[in-house]
Amino acid sequence: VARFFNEEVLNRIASVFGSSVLPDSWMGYVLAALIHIFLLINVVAVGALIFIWMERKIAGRIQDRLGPTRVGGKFGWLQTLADGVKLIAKEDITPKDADALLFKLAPYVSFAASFTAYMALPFANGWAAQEINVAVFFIIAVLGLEVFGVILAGYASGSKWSLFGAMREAAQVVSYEVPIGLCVVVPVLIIGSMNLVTIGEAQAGLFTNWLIFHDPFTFCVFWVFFTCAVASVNRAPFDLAEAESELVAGFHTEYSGLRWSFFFMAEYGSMFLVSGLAAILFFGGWNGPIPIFHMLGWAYEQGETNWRVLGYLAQVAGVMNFILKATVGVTVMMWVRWTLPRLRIDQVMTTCLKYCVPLASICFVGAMLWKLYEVPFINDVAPLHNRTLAEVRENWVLETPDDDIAAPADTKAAPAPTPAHTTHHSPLTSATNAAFASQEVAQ
Amino acid sequence: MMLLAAIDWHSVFFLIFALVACGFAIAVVVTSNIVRMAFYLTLSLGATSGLFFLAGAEFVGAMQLLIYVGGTLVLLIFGVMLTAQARFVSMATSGGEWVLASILGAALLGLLLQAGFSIKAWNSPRADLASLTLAEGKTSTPIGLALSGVRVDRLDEPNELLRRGMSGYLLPFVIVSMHLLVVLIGAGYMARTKRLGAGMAWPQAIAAPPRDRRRSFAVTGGLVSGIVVNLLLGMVCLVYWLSPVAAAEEKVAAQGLLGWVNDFLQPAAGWLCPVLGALFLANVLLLVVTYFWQRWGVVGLVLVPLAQAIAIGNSGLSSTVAMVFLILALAPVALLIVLMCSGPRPTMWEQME
Repeated sequence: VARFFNEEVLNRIASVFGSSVLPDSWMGYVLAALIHIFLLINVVAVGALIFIWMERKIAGRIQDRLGPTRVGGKFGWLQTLADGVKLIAKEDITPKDADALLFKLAPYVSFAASFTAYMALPFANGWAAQEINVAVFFIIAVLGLEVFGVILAGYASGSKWSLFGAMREAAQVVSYEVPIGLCVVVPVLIIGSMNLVTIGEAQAGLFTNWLIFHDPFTFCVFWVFFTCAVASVNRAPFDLAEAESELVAGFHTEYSGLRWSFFFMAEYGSMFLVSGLAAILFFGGWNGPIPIFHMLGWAYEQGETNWRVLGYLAQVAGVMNFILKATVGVTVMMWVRWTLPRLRIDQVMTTCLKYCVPLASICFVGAMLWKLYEVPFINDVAPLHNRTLAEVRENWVLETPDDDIAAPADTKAAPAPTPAHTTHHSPLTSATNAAFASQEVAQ
Repeated sequence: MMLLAAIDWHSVFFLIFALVACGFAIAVVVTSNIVRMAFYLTLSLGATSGLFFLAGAEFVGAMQLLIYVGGTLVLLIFGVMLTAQARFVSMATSGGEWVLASILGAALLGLLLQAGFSIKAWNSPRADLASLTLAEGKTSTPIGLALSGVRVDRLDEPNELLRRGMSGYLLPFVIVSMHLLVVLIGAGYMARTKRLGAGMAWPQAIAAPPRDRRRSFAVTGGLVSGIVVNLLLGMVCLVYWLSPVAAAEEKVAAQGLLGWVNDFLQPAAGWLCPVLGALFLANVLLLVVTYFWQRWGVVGLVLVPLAQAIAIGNSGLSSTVAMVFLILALAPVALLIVLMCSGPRPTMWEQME
């Protein structure tokens, strides 16, 4: 549909003005980029709209209230829009003592960092604005920059409350980058790739294939990851930067109107982002619990480029799956926020350095050993379980044109685990693999 | 329209990123407010990472973001912390500093320009420009594998001499990381002593040790017998190593117990005996240290059998031998620790330093 629309409708219109929007022309390029940006900015902006409404409803229910009920009908679902109109109408104030330039820039820095990370986030098999080879790493790197806006805001406000908030945020985020990095390494280690599309596709199949069920260590490391993710996006119980009971409103004390709402958009954008990252890394991303579309043969293989209606349907279902999983993550974050009291700054540091970092390290080593010795796990006997993981890396080492050159090179250079992986699988695994293959043939 | 279509967009983006990087680099120099400086530096470094992404080196680009831009973040925090007393303090640059800095910068710039323009391939556009595409994938994998010891790019190298570099960068990588670890621990330790000491760098060394320490007979006996046994074992190992019986040609000739030992050690590497002997003697030292009330002696006593078992396991003997040795060697240590921690209070462990 997209290609037909592009070639037949848009190109006809464009040809009236003497230009072309075919894929290899600059107009087509710009058009594609604009559509990507438009879709992504809607994920953030509309996402924030819905999540803020959801947060009000959830907070209300948890506190035994109803939450918004009137604006826009029965469930008050236009409440955020009304808030938005109110915020736009508010006066945009810059304090006398503020560093005006940085004060005005800070919200955009925060939002841009949160938004840029979406560029590498795939929403379905291959549906990413930019399929980056090191997407996990890129997202972690960019996500760390969001704190920049917070610190600039805290400093430039010229207010002691803001400065306190910013300093707390800085200490917190710099500390929590360590365990979050350690946690993210575990799925990367198991799959053997930093490409999020590859990581997601490797978990296709029954839900036992999801990495959280890969072994007990990945199960543990997910909870560490989620805790650290909550802390790194500055949500309660780690929201010391805006501790409203002590610091008025923390780093955004002096902000009002639209600039203030940019911070909120950035926060909700980051929440969805880390939840989506968790969904891809541990919960199979866009793969449903039962691989219906793989069974029907509708789903795209990775790298497939031709357009098919059924494949498109499978992709759309994948996007639904992904958004659902990420939304569940965001909902849990809200649930945590309205359930747990805020931690003190020393408790935040203790949680990070004395619990999260050692736990993540132990899980890292444990998952590595588990992978190294191919320890069988309960889910090996599950139907449709294919352990096709870590092919990327091994293909790389064994990818040699000439066997008699490769043989000595392998024994010398490749560490012990590499041949071990390729030569002997546990009988259980190969049996289930064979079962999986025969089922596929039958279908 | 036609004009826009003729533009090489890759070059345009390169120019945009390059201009942002250079412009904000100059802004860093010109500004006097330290926080703004850090902010401009961030933008400049971020634009540099954009250049890397444009070149298809995504791993390096993300690395630039994580290390340099993230590092500037810390710089910013320190900038705020150190200037928070008198806010927006301006750092006026004196004339002399300007002169020195411009000479240095100009010299470096001249060097880089000269080097850049002296390379032929960089001066003229490539003939096959149209057929080039961005490097797709696989950019970070060879780097990571090379750091972990495999040069995938050299796997199919037919020349035997050129394949020598196959081992990759594992050793430099480990050396650098150990170095960093040492620096980290050292920094932490220095910060700690300063806070604890209240004027004295070594409060524990200066404080007089308590006099009335008591030690049960069982522990003393265990320590002394341990010293004797380890001394004997160490001497036996070293003597066996130095004796002519162990030499490879005569191994077959020896009879009786010695012959059995020779047969047993047949698959082991030659370095096993001296290493084991040295570790046994180290054990003697550690037992003496433990006798003089140092806790690190006990820690060492646990670690030495581990090291010995690892040595045995790696020397060519079977891992069963290593495990049996480990159990036999750790059992007395465990018994010793139990003895030290039990008994009437204060136990020996509590009295130790």
